Amino acid sequence: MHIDKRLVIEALEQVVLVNDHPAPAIFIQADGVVIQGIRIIQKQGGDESTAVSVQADGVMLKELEIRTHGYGIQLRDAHGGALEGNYIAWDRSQGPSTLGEKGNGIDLYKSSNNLIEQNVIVNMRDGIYLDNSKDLMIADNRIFGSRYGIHCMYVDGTEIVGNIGENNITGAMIMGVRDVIVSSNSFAEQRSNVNSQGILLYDVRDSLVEKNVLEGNRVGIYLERSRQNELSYNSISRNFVGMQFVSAEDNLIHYNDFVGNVIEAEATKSESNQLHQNFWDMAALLDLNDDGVSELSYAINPFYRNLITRIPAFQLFFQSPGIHFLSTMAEQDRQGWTIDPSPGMKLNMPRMDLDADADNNSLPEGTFLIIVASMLLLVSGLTIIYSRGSKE
Amino acid sequence: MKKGIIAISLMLVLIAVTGCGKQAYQPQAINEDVDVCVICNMQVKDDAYATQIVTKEGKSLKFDDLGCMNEWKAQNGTEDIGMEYVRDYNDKEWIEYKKATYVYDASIRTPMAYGLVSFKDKQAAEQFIEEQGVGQLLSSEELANHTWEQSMDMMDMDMHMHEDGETHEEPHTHEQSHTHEESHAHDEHSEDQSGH
Repeated sequence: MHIDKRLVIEALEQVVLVNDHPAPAIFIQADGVVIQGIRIIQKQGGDESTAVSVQADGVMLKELEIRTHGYGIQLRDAHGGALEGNYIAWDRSQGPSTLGEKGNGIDLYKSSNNLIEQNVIVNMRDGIYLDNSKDLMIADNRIFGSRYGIHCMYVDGTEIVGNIGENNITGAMIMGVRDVIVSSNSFAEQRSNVNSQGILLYDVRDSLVEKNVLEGNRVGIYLERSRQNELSYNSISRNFVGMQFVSAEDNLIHYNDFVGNVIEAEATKSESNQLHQNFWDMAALLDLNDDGVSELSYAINPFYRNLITRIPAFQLFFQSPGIHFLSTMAEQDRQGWTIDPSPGMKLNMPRMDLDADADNNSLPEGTFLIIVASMLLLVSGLTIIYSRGSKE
Repeated sequence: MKKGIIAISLMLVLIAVTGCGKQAYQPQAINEDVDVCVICNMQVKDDAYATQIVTKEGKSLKFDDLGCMNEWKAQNGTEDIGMEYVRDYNDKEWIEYKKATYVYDASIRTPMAYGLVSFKDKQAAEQFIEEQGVGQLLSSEELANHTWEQSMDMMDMDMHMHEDGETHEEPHTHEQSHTHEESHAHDEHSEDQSGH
């Protein structure tokens, strides 16, 4: 379907578009086109084959359901558009596929001022791929089982807010960007691959990474060759490595929570970052003047990182007594370590919301006890009645 | 005496031949599940843009883009390198870095936007330039003087990694904005080759 006129196409009932050709099922070249509610099955893959291709401005794609053997939606030189509430999944009906064969869910190239909101993307290569674009809004999308959930390459002035990524190789791969806000996202369980991370920041400048939840990943936040960024109020828990810095300078890292990570943080060639008032649950803390800030500093030992740089398999021995002993031996050059001089005594971002949810779903403790007690009473009563009855 | 000299020279030739014939630094195949670029951490795709350094220790370092391999050399020097490999754009065969012919244009889309592709013979490279209508033919020696700029048209500033690992900002030059327009015209074409 080639659209070169300004059209509004709305599916009133179930409309399915099946495309057996490598050319896009829908190819939009007219500005201001709106397409809503269509189901699209793109059966052909290879190269840049895509279900929907947009090469026009102000296009709106809403509530499409796409199953594709190539890409999902491609935007090329398409500005000021909106992609909302779409569902994009890899077409598994043609047997198993490798990551290399798959296309990206939503793929932008030289396309600025677009809104990408509330889409669900499953089992694609990159969920949302942004290349050479600026001023985008990426909000409340959910991406599962893909290579990189959100992948930015050379992006400027973009907001990535409220997205959820699970079981991807990396939740958000942010590379070569300036002035980006990564806020209130949740990236969990990115750990099935040996190179998994929650958020990876490479060559990132003047950006803000705040209020994200990074749980159960191989590495929570990985920061390399990035400077003048602010990382604050992130909740980093149950990861193998909480935060990792490599050649990252002049970043401000404060008010983050590090809880239950195997290794809280690693830093190499990253001396001039400012850390303060982060909560480290492994740190030995002492608050003498009761201001909520520890008088004892917390230093990040680069030993682990140095150890695995050459031989990654040494990770297997982390937390073994021998490695712990060795790490304490390597403390002589403590001056050069990354240090949080004022660790916080309490969590900066208490997870109240989760606790509240848990309470709502289960019965209050008292009610549960009464039910169990009454059931026991009933069973014992019945046993007594029946056993007495049998004696007579 | 003469026989002795002949025998010695024969032995020397033999040693030289066996020495050359011994391919000590073989390239490894790309495994997309585990291989990440040593420099930029991105997954290395089993495509024509992948490059590889085999160190003298026999360790294989893989890169997703020729530019990342160059960056590694800038950081670590070339002393430990046993052999450098790039891939032929057409059939993905591993070829020695020094023997390959290169084509550069800012509009060629490569994983890290360095815009360089490699060919095992000059003819194929020339053919590629003819097909694309753009491209600058380069030898490995000429790459030594290459600027290694990444194509980032959308950024307010062009960023370029320097040898010291520091990033420096360079405002758009007239030349760069020219290549932008040029690349615009060839977008559709170059997208077809993009592997990422």
